[in-house]
Amino acid sequence: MLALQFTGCGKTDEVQETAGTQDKDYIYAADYQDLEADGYTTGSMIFGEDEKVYFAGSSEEGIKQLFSMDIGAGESTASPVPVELEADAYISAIGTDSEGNLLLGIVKYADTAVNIAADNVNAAEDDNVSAEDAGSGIGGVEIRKISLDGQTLESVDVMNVLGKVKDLYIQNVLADKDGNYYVNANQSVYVLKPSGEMLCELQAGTYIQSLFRMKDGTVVVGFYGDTGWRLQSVDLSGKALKDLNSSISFGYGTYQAGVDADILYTQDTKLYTCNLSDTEPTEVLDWLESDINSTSLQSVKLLKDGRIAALSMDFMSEQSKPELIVLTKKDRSEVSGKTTLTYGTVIVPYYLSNDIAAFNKQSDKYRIEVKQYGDDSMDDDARVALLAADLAGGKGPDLIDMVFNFTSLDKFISMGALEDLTPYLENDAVIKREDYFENVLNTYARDGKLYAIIPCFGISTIVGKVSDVGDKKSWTMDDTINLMDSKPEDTQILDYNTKNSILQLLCSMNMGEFVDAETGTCDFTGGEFKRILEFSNQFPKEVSNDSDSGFVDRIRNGQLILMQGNITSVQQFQMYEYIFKEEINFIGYPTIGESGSVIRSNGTTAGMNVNSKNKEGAWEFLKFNLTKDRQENLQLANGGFPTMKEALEKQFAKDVEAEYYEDTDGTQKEKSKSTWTYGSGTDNITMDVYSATQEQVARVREIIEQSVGLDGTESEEMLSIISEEAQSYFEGQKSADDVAALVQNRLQTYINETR
Amino acid sequence: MKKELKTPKKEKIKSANSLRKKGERGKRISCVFLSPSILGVLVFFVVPFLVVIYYSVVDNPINHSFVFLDNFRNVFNNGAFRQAAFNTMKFSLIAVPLAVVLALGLALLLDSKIPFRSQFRTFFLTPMMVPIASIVLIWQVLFHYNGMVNDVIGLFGAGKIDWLKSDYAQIVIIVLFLWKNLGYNMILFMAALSSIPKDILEVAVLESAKPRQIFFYIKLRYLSSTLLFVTIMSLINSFKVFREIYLLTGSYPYNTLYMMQHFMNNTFGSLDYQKLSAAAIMMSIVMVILIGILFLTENYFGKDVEG
Repeated sequence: MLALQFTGCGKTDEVQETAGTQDKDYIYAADYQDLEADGYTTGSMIFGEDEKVYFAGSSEEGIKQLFSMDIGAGESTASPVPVELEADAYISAIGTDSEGNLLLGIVKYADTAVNIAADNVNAAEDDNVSAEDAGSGIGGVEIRKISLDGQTLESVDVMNVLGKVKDLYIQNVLADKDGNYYVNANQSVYVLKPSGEMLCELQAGTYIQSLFRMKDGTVVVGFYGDTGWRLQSVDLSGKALKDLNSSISFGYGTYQAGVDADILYTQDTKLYTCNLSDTEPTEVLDWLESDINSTSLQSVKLLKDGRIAALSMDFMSEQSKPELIVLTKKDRSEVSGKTTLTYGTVIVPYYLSNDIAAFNKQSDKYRIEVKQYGDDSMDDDARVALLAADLAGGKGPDLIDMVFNFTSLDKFISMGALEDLTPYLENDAVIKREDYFENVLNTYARDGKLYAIIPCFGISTIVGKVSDVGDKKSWTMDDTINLMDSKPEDTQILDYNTKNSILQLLCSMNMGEFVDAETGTCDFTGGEFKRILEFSNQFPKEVSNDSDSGFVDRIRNGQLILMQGNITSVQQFQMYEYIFKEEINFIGYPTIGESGSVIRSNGTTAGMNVNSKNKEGAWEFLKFNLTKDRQENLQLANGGFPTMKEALEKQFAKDVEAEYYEDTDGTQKEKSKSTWTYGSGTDNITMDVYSATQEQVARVREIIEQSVGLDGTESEEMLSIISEEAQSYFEGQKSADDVAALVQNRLQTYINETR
Repeated sequence: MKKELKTPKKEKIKSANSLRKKGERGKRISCVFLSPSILGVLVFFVVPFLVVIYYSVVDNPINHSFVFLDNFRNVFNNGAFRQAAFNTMKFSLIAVPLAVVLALGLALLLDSKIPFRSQFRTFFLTPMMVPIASIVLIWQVLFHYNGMVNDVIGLFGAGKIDWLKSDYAQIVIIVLFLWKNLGYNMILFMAALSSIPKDILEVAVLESAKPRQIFFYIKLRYLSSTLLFVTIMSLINSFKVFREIYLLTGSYPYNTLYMMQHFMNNTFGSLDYQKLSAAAIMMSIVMVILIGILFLTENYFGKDVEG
């Protein structure tokens, strides 16, 4: 046992080492400034080779203007840079060449555009609608090189090359020392000669996150490919992208050229600088320590006087504005007069950074620091074990992340590590428990005690046509099997599922029916488990690559009956309605219980350490995400439903409200609420979703109200035992009875042990 | 005269003081030499055991509320603990005597003048050289549902048996245990047999003692300390069979293979330290009693040959 403690201690120290820069005696204090010119909305923005920030602005009257602000000189107002733009033209991207001049990617609207007809839901299926059919709406594309004072040095018409690109959107533009232009648009880098002719198109096949020129002139692109994050250089001789030769393990983030080093980049919550020949990058700062949400960062500039400037734009927030953040290195004691709380987690998702940065920014009493457990080399169990060791050793964090520790919830409860939040919620002066969905809160409740706060959620469910599944609120395995029996033999019930995945899904849904937690007994030898085995056996062993061919057609003509779905917005509901093209029912997973639709956390969900010395502060943070302001801004930020009833109703009101814009020909067009792409390969469909009807909202409300949280009876170990034993049934070696008996035998031991 | 009388007394006192000083110095030196070992025992055995005792009487490692014997009561009433205790006891009761008796039999056989003695000895020692991962692999190849043993019995028309997930499971593990441990035990017995004084055996032969009498009245007496050692080692190894079972069948095997160490390992994995500590203490009490009985037995049977 002591050896265990020693091991735990060692690992904890290691974690603390990787947990951040809390042990440094300095901190970067942030000053925020809105990056905008009076009367203009800010578009593209960039740091120049000098210490100025350049940004494009457009006024409500349609005037487009380039602005600059000298950060090095401490300017706080923007000055216009005289650039002549035609009335229909706008600056899509700003870049630099190797001499420090500015490059503008200018796009001009066409006089008339062909518009896609839109009704309630409008789908443009990629196979059928080409760029020509849809109309690109582009009248001209120009790359203009200007001096820093706005004088035009060169203008290249690239309409012939880029005008053909469907839905052209220029993200970045830059030039190399030979004068070649590099345009990052629509998942490709277009390399153009100085004359504007196409040299080559380099396809990444996915969204290109970063395009930059290193100090040696090499142009580098960064994107998240099939095999993870890729950082590749442009090889003009081979007209291809080549992996960079470096022993550093680069991950998803924002990359740009360094000042003295090759690369300056933000990965997770930290800013690093490195040369490609380095074995490890050098950490510059932890953004979260300065209360900055690193996922919103667009660009970073290391200023000569040691300050650091960053451009930030939070696309996930409705009230977001582009911000210029200037960080100054200060003594830690000089800056922090707040009580520090720790948030323990095994992973830092974007919404956690967002919530912590927002909390720290507004709280004058507390600040949260993230303590991340484990690293990429560890599996989830090992990471949770580190957290548990800290908790057992009395050094646990004040707040414990529960999104990625959901299966550990019962472990932590049995350890006595989690505080019951019921009294906090019921006695709070500001928030009232009855204002929130009880079934959602109960997802993290056990035996009447609330162990974590869930501010944002989605619903995991099964969708089918009413003509197939009826209009019931739930269905059983027998119902499902009867439905399958009533269909022709080649009918598929669910796509993208294997024998094992469906078995695990159905068992976790129904585990409470097989296991009696009160008496500590289980019964897998009854008929229901055998029916699940038989049902699962109808699915393929592996998902085949061509299983998505004709996906929507198969749904509509009845060859495929059900879809497994996650609903996190009314627009998603509308998308499913569009796919099925007839009345649908979110009937949920087959279950013996009341509902087969399951509530899943979709945002920062945390519990409180029972031994926290700052329980009041910890509750302040948990409460912060439940406040009206945060709740009303959650759907855009997290892509899920807010737990507060009133905030959800407000969101519903927005969902049914149609918004319009004036088209170039002066007609009023309805703005789409969102665009969804479903499927993959040649079979994907892209659809614009417009305002919902009251009936659709009512259906979503009903689904939310009838959904349930998993009761936590199932565990990974139980599902693993079931899967292991079921393989011999799937392979035809054992009967369902034999497998059920073995599962019964092994799981009874498990259940006995956990009592 | 007085002086003369006093001198030897003084010398005696002086020499006693000197002896005492020497003894104290010796003690101090002994303490210095012993301290690393004492420190090691304290740090790695005594203190951890005290920590385990502490954990066994608190509600959990976070609240630290004193609950006295509640954890022991819970563990004793736990179905899995009872199952594990029963399986471990059953396994030890069958496997340990077999490992001792068969090893002794083999040692006696190889002690006699049979051909290929050396080859047999090597043969029985071979399993000791095989790494555990390979042993598990061999057993999987043999006893898997689609393994060789089922192929062989299939040739005779018998149906497949799930050896490791049926009531045959413990037999398979006993065979594995014996295969792995017989060689080592046999070597120990052979060494003990060779150290029995030859003159006593010769006298017994001259006195017309029968081989059975020689074995029970002479050899077994001289082997008693080795018997005790082999039994204790086999008992310890029988607890360690968890390693093989775990590698063959995982954390939650068929219920007859669920051992005490499964219970310990799994409760550690689920962070249930108080249950783990209570179980560990209960198990250590049983072990102390068992080993105590073995020592008493050895003392009783072996006292006359050890002088």
